[in-house]
Amino acid sequence: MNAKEFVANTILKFDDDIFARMREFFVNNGYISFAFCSLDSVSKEQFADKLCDYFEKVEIRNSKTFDKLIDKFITGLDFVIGFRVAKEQKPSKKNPVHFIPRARKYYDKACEIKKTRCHQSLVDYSRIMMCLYAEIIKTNGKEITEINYASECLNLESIVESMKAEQNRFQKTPKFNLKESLNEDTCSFVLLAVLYFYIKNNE
Amino acid sequence: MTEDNNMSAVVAVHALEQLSRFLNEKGVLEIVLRGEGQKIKQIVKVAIDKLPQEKAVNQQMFNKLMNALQNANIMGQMNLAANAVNNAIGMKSLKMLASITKLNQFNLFLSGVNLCATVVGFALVVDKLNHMSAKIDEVFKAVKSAQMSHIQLELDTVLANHRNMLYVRENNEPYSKNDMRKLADDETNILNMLISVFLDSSVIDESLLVSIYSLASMLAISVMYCDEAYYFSSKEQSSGGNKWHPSHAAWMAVFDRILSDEFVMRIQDYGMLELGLNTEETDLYYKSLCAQIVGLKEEIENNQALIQAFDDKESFKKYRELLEMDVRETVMQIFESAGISTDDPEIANALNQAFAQIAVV
Repeated sequence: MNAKEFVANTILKFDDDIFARMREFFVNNGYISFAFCSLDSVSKEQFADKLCDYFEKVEIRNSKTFDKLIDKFITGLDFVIGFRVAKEQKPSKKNPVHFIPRARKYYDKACEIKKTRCHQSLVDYSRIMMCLYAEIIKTNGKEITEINYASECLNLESIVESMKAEQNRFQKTPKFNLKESLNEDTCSFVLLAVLYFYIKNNE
Repeated sequence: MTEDNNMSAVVAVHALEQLSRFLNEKGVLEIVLRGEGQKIKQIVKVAIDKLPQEKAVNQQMFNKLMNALQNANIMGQMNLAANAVNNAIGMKSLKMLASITKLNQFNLFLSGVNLCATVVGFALVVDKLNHMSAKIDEVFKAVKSAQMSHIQLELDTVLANHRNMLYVRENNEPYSKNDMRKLADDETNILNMLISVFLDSSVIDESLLVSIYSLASMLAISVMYCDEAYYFSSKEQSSGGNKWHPSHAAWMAVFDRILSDEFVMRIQDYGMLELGLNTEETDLYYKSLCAQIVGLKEEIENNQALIQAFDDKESFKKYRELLEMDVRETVMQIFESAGISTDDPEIANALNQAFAQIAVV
């Protein structure tokens, strides 16, 4: 998948109200800026062009293809989510019950989905992981056994704020470096936002 | 094609539909392959897939029919959740649903609702349920409970009683309100048992799911008829007090159980983890099923409002008859304005069958 395909499959298919919300989010959070156009006058096509240019700059800046940027996005999500999903309880002498937490079932499904690289797989993976992360936010970062699959439970602002606060496990430094707009971590947040609005668009 | 003085003029073909006139009586194109000396070496029979024009016509017809059905609000009083489902998910989603090949029972979900209101339609529902009865029995056996072993027998009894009720009503014979109440109670009990089995089973069986939604449709019909019978009977006897039967809340509670978080989560898990649907398909699946039950509840409540508004048995009955006539005429008008001739025997037959199934006579 390349950036143009990604943008064509997402931005250009948004309903007007979702596009307006997304446009506002991107500009308010400094991911995209328009020097001369007023926000309301920016069309989907203009925004799509701008976003494609952004991804192209990120690719060049980091010497990475768009697929590699997707890999980085997936790895980032897995870092903050994977270790917080309760594990399968296999039967033992003390406890003969075999129990797979619902969150674990969905996490395993997401891990299976991410092996296939296509637009739908990326959407499905992102949806499941966002729902898992929303549950993690509810438990204040603790281990989760459940998942609220409904897309209505997702809130981009809280997901972004929580991810910004994530730290590396042993170094206590921010996990995501968002100081530069063209680095891979910021690009991951851009991808997250686009996919979030794609999911909302299809509600 | 090669030119030959003994052959008729060469036919230039630019599109598949131009070949239609060369098809034999079986719709097959026979191509002659010649060998040495122009002798016939082989005749190849070629079956051409639905010609694009025919496909386009079928698609156009399908679109017109669907638009007509939606516009006619044919899913009126006697048609329950199908309207809610259609409104909730729209045309684009309906096509998406059709492409979900795994959901081979979904047609039953969409159509079972209105089918449960007539003998003709209900026979179709029962036929499908009977084919699944063996599977349902396996599920019940898997649930080790003495009570559950009797569910199959009770389910058969309830199906038979529902069919009998519809038959009696369609023949304008009296069906006592007590019998109506008992039918609603029995359907509620069976439905609650099926829901419990569904929630307790570690593996979801689609047959069980179909049974639950079919029974929910049946229960909605029974509750509506019960409301009519009880309301007007109480009015005639000037008994005052509750307008509706005291069991009404218990009947409605079972619909809430199907809409509960626990039940919905199981549906989501089934779609996402077992049917292998993608996230968009899973959303469509569980939301459509929820919309179906919401629609059932709304129809019951709308029916109650209508009963109270008319406040008279004969007026209410007359309203239903007029509604059915109006629905039929409206549908016919919309079809004709869409350029579909209802004089066409095939279309007329299909329409009549559809009307019979949804009690529009």
